[in-house]
Amino acid sequence: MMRRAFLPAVIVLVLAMLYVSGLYLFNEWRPWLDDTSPRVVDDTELLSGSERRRITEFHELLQQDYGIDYRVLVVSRVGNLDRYAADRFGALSVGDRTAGGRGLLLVLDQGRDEVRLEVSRALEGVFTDAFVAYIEQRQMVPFFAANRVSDGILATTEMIVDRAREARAQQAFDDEPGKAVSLGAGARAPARLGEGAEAKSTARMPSIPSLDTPPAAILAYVEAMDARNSNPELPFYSEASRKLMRDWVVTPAQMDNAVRSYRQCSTEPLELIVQDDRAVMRYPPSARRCHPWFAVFEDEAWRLDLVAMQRLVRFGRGNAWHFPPQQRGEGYAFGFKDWTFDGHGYPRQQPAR
Amino acid sequence: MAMHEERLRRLREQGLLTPEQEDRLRESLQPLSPERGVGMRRMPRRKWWPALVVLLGAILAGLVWGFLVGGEVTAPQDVSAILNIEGGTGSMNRWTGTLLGMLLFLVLPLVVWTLLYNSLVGKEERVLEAWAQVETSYQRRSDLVPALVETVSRYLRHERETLERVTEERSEGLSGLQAMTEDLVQAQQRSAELLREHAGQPPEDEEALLALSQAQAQVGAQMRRFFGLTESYPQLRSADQFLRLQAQLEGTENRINVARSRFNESVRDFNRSIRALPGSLVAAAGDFRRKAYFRADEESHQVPVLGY
Repeated sequence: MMRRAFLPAVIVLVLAMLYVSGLYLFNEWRPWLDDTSPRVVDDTELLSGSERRRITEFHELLQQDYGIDYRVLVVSRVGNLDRYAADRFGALSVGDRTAGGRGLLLVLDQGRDEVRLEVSRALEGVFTDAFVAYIEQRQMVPFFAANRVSDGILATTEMIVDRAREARAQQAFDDEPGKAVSLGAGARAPARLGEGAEAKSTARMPSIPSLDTPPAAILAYVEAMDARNSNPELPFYSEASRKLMRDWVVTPAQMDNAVRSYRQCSTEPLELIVQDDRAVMRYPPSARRCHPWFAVFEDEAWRLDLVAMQRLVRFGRGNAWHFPPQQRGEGYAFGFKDWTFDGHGYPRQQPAR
Repeated sequence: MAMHEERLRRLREQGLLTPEQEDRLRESLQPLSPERGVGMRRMPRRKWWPALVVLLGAILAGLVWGFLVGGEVTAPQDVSAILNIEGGTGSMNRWTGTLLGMLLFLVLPLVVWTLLYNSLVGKEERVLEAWAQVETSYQRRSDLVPALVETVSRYLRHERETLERVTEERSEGLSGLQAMTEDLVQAQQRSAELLREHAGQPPEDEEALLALSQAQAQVGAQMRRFFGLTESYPQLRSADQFLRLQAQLEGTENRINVARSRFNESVRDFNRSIRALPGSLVAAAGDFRRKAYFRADEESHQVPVLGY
């Protein structure tokens, strides 16, 4: 009799325990169960489907490589963007699907023409407010002004990847167990959507560079970038490069990056290979992030062939350079005859001699 | 603090701060007392009478239960009489019943009491945690004061010394620099004193919180005023170094707003719990007191736009 009386109570107790433990597990695993939630939400249809997919793919790689959950939200108009971003960060559980609470949320308010990148507490030390303001204003916004929203987001993500790589090398990530939270870190900037690309600089270089050797053209280019001179008519550009540069969005951050990248590679030996009126300047294949330079002899001077560089030199994960698959440098292939490449176009570590 | 020492010395040497201002600023930038932080709940003077009432009530209820529910006195209980009898039940010893009843009426309220008490403690801890974040954000803004003074003053002086095209308006801006520095140092000193008074514990009355909030608002306003000196220098405002400072200031103001807002949310949750039944009974016994809110109009909720 006692057993009969207790049975319903035991069943109720077991069910209650199952319910409570189920709730707990659901909450714990929700971020991973929820992994299908979109990385890009565009309420205003500012981005096309293919642009959303490109950003999604790129941001998925960012999570795979650096454990950073980076979401993008395009909204029509919100009251206070700072407050909205902090609230949405929590509501969307940004960063919860990572182990260390690493989350970033980009909110673009089309109506108010403002953009804000919200940073989780765990990432505050890596992506400081000053850094975020810099990449917004010096990299993202110039693309937005030229009506290239998707390119602006992707170009900024590249800088985020670069910074994340440095942080990992310096062990600067300050991971936090548990839920990712935002304390209001990040920065807001005017988006300047469609305002029109900034007028190109017409500034000349302080002194006319001597372009009698191909490396001299590189030095002149770095000097101009260091002065943030985006004038497309500078003498170290080839004729085709000038044409290209006139339509290109050149941001201050890109110019800074070009200088930094060159200086980082300056410890590597630069090898010069000349054939007729063309020259290849290359670093050893072990320097994977140091891309080769191409120059052409035009009007009695060596000038950089940025058109060929832009067409032939690509950058993969980890910022390692490579040729497009099945291509070996086209008109500059003579400079890589003694190298071998893998199926994806990456140079192999040991050149085959 | 060491990070400020070098800068403060430099500011004095450059004549941007008087020795007295330097001392006052140094003192105001001292970190809050080390014992501040989460989990600093001051133990309340607990009232003993609710526990006594519960105990006596439980004994009384147990006795009533025992006498009403318990069976006849059959001690020692003869269990052999009920063995293997289909549908039979034994009569419980009246004293055993009384004891079980007392336990039931004593344990159940105790469990409920404990759960309510722990819930209030948890909510109060969240208020303290949110307050710690408010303090951290205020401290972060204070830490920017020397950098702001140095950057703005250095640029303005550089302009005056190197450029001949100094307009009258700019000269006025420069002549007001000392007065503005003094105002900023004073505001910083006052807010640091108040913040130190409440280190680790939010002010319990609205007036104290209002005073602290107003003092902080003064610091923010003075910093914005200082920053405003650069209005007529578009080249300076577009410089990367200035962009960094501007981003830090705006970021700090935003953190303060977020921290204040979250503090208010946790206070609202706590206050609601101690006012509603049955939490109010536990709150009265445990000396949990109502917490003060930040008021919306004390300091602007809008992060100041310092210009781009």
